[in-house]
Amino acid sequence: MDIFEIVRAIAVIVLGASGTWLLLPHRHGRIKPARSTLVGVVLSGIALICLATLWKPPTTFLAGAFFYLFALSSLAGAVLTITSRNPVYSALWFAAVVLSTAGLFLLSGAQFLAAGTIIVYAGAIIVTFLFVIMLAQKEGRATYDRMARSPGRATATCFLLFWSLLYALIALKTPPGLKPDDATDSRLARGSNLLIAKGIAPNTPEASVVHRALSPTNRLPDIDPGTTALGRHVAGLGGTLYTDHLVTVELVGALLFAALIGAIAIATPKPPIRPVQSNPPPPAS
Amino acid sequence: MNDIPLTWFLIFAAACFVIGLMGVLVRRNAIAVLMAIEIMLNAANINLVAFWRYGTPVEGDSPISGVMFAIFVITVAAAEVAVGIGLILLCYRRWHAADVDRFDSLSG
Repeated sequence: MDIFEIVRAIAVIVLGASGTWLLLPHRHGRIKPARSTLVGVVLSGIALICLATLWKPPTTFLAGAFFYLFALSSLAGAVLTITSRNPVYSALWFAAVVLSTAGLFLLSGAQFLAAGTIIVYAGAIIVTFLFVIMLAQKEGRATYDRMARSPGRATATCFLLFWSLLYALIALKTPPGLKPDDATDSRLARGSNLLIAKGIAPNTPEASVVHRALSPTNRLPDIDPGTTALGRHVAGLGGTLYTDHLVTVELVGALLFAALIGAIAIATPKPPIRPVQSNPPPPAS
Repeated sequence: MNDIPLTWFLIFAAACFVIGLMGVLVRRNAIAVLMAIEIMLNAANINLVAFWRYGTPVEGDSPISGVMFAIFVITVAAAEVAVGIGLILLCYRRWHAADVDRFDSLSG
């Protein structure tokens, strides 16, 4: 394992933790001096640049440049989302995070997912957030927006978690020297791989029994799997969505319907369940 | 198509997840906490898409299953936002603040 990478990862952790801690609101809502905010911005920026040096470029120039652009703007937007005192600014920075993430989806070849992320997140969810901020916000800035809940401990916890994740990922880059073991693989075989692992010849009664018993659960039994291999484009995605994952689509539709009913039932104003004796019954005449 | 290494995406997703977790722990505004949860879900989506992009497809599996997972994650996130915002509105009407530290009636 490269010792310089470890040093850089530690620098990312320390600088990022101190910079983010300086950017967070004060614990008891006191105003932090502008100089500490400035120092926090500088430290977080240095931490982001150090993080970018962990991405050593064995890549084409254009893809790498776009990755740097999207990833760094997304991380900076995420930090600003959680440190903004005004929730409206938080929502707008969150829109920046979502747009940059959609760019990363485009880079990894999931075009439909990029469009869907922009439509669902930036189009619907952020508008809902802004509406609720307008509805559930007092005049001026609320005090609880200027206070953070134990920022020191939260920063320490989260950056320790980040350190462990970074350490695992950097260690994962070196080849671990493990080869896939055929014996272990055959013991772990399940589903239709059992046919190959147990050496059952196709077109025998056992094979058809195993095939019927162990067909993948996300696939309808009557559909020939050969017809759904349409490639990685939107047509293939639609085909996969409505053949292989038809049951999941139905489940998700039911979930959305239940969430809709639940949101309406929760959010509509109702009289209290046990009303206080506000209007006493009229006296009997 | 391009040869961005898989670890780039994984490191980015780890950083994004950690920032979202910090937002959940630190912020006291309930709407900001929801936004931080969405950032964490986004990081999970990045991981799903990256593993789909760089993994070897299983024989007989659909070629686009990672994207399917991410789409279902987005759907669940939308449902969660709808219910969560209903709850926030209800609590705001009750306590006149969207402060998660004051929603403690059930804490005994």
